[in-house]
Amino acid sequence: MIQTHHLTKRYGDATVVDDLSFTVPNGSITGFLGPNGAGKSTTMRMILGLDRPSDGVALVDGEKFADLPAPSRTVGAMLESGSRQPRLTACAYLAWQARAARLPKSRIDEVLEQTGLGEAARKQVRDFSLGMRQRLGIASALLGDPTHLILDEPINGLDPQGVMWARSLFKELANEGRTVFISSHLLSEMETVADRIIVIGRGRLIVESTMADLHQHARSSHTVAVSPEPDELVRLLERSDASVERDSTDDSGRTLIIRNFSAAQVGEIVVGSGLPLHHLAQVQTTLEQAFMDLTAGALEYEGTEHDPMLASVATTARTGG
Amino acid sequence: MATADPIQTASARPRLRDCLEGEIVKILSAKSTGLTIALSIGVAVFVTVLITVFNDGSADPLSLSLIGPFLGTWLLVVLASNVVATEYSTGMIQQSLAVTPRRGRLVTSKLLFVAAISLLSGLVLSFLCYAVGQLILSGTDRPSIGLGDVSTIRAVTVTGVFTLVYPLIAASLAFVTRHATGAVLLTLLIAFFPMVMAELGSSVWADIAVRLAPGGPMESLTGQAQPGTVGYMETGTTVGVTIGWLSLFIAAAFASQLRRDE
Repeated sequence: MIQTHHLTKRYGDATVVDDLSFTVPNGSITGFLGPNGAGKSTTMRMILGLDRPSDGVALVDGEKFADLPAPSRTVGAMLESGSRQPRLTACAYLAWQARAARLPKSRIDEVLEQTGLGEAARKQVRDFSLGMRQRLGIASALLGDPTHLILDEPINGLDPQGVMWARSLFKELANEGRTVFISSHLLSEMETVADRIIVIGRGRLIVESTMADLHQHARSSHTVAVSPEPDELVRLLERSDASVERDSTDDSGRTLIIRNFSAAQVGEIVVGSGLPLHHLAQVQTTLEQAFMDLTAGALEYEGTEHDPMLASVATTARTGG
Repeated sequence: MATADPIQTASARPRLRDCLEGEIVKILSAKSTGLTIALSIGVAVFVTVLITVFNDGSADPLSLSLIGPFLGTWLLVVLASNVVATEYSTGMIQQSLAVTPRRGRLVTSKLLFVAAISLLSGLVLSFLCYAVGQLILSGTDRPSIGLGDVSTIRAVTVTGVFTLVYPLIAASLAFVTRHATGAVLLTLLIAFFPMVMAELGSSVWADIAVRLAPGGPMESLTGQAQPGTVGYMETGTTVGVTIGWLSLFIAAAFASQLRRDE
């Protein structure tokens, strides 16, 4: 199990990770999501002891990473794809790690085969494609046959076949009881593979939830109605206790969003009034949209000032998920 | 899958020795390592040949053979700086610390490797240059000096052993600067600034600079500085000065590595 307690990282006045507490349980695949610059890599680096927390602590099985008796057998880490000496061969790259971590030599060939790099073992890393480098990173993480895996954007740069392979590998590893913690900035990457997700934005926790809870949240829908007489329509609907708001993206003000009535209910109300209606539709929130909503206030380069909202799913997850 | 069996974990607990072996595999796997060592030996021998061939016979035959190794040392300084700084320029330090999270152990391993490879290369350099130099001298009927003399063995051996001083300083500085060029330039400055100042400054400054600079003890240890000359120091003092300088730079390397983020 990986846990962070009030983990905080400040660089001067900038707080990159802000009071972050979460748990990554054993035997699960936990997606670590957030927009670029949200603080995912910094958090992972603090778990691995590469960056020192300004406050708080990160623990693996109750211990700091550096205090683990056999770190490589407990945590396999894949960091940025560039963090490899380009002139080493794949074999040499794994050989020094195996030697330093006191692992059997046989593991080198095993993980090279497991990651499909058997034939590229003698090639220099600088001749590798991005996808091959990612596979080598995964091979490196698997070298110690660890109980926990921390993988920073492992799917980046993989071709579709590679993505399928990686997903099935992660599932297999989790089924064996390992803790798999994967960062990504794309929900679509995690949607089919993760059991749980942790979403952060601007270094703060937005959601810690099971994937099932997030799907539940995404299943919510609303009704969109467009009328040339929106004021009349609002009055009519509000008389029927509808929760109506104007769509802020429509400058004409003709588009209304009704949260608590279905399209059929809105149609039945309007049909007797004689009000013109140009468009009426039931809109289903997609999982991607739910994620975008959750992280809307946490984009690194967004200029508007508002805190990441704590959506209802976060509350649900913390109490029940 | 690995389990948390305490017996298995205890026997699998990595040690300093494992980290050092890992560093040896890592560094020797890079072709540039062997190339730099070969270049260092080549430069030293080439310079020795040039100096010996074009010498008019007036210089001390032993001194002639000890200039080449000093020049060869500077390629070992480049190697030592790269051994450390490449970790930062390639980002490999992250993987190194993920495998060996005890930072002190990683620093110790790298410095031990630099010390060992410099010592070994230094001894090869000094004995090879000595042999080549004396061979040329005796082949051209000029005075040469044999290894039968204890003071000659001492001078050649000390020259070889002392070769590790500047590479160790450079490697330590590379931990601080995280930049190979910076570490090499600083090492050059540390080596030559006191000598330049000694030439330009007062006799008091010259006396202190020559004696107490990191390279100062070498002449006394090789026996080339005799009692009564400016650079001479007692053996105990020379060892103390050398250990003092090395301790200072190594402490800076540890302090830098233990306190900073990667």
